[in-house]
Amino acid sequence: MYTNSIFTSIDASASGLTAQRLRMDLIAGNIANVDTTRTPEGGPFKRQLAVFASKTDLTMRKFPFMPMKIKTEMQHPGDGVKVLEVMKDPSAPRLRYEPGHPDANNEGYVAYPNVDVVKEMVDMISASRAYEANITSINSAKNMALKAMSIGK
Amino acid sequence: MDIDFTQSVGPIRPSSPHVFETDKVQIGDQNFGEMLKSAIEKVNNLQVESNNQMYKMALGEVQDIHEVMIAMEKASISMQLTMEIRNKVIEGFNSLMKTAM
Repeated sequence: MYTNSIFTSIDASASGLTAQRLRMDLIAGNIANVDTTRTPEGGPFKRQLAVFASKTDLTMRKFPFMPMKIKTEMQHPGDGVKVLEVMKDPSAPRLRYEPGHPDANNEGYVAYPNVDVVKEMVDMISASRAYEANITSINSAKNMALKAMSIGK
Repeated sequence: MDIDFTQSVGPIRPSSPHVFETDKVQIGDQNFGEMLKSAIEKVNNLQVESNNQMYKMALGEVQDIHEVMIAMEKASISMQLTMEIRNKVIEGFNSLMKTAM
């Protein structure tokens, strides 16, 4: 059963905040490792991406053979977002000619991470704006609740 | 035609015997007192949660600042609602007390 509390939207926005903060962490890690050529799994660092899914989608995944009618009934507005996984960008590493580098291959090229700082900066702006949007949404929900309390005053 | 004024006024009496029995006023399975108690309990839980988050924040155990802030906001909103309800109840009580006898 769908229960609507004044905290439903706040909880959804809170999950958005957590998700965007994780995205921010990944971007920070990507920028920090822009020149990392050594990782435990070998090879250069790989750009990390967060995959987000709605919380409803996750419950659907648990029961894939459910009839569509029940699935649509199960969809709750304001369920929030969850980080499904942190995946690695499969694109090719940047090759730079540096024969003196200890990680250079036989032809003198060093494989650098597939991190593009400009792209990361754009993603960072996007993440911080999305974070702000979630905070605005929380404040808005709070103001709605406070306005409701001023009924009859 | 004779009109009996004493008949038409009559004593003030509750229309049904249940009206003044507050114990019988039930919402679902619980009575009013129980409902109030559980509501206050919920508000208290939010306050406790907010306090716990603040302690954790001070100890450096919290990873997300926004979780602390949201816990505090929730506690504040529910507390304000409780205060509004209390004000309404006291207002009603005061207007009853002011009734001219």
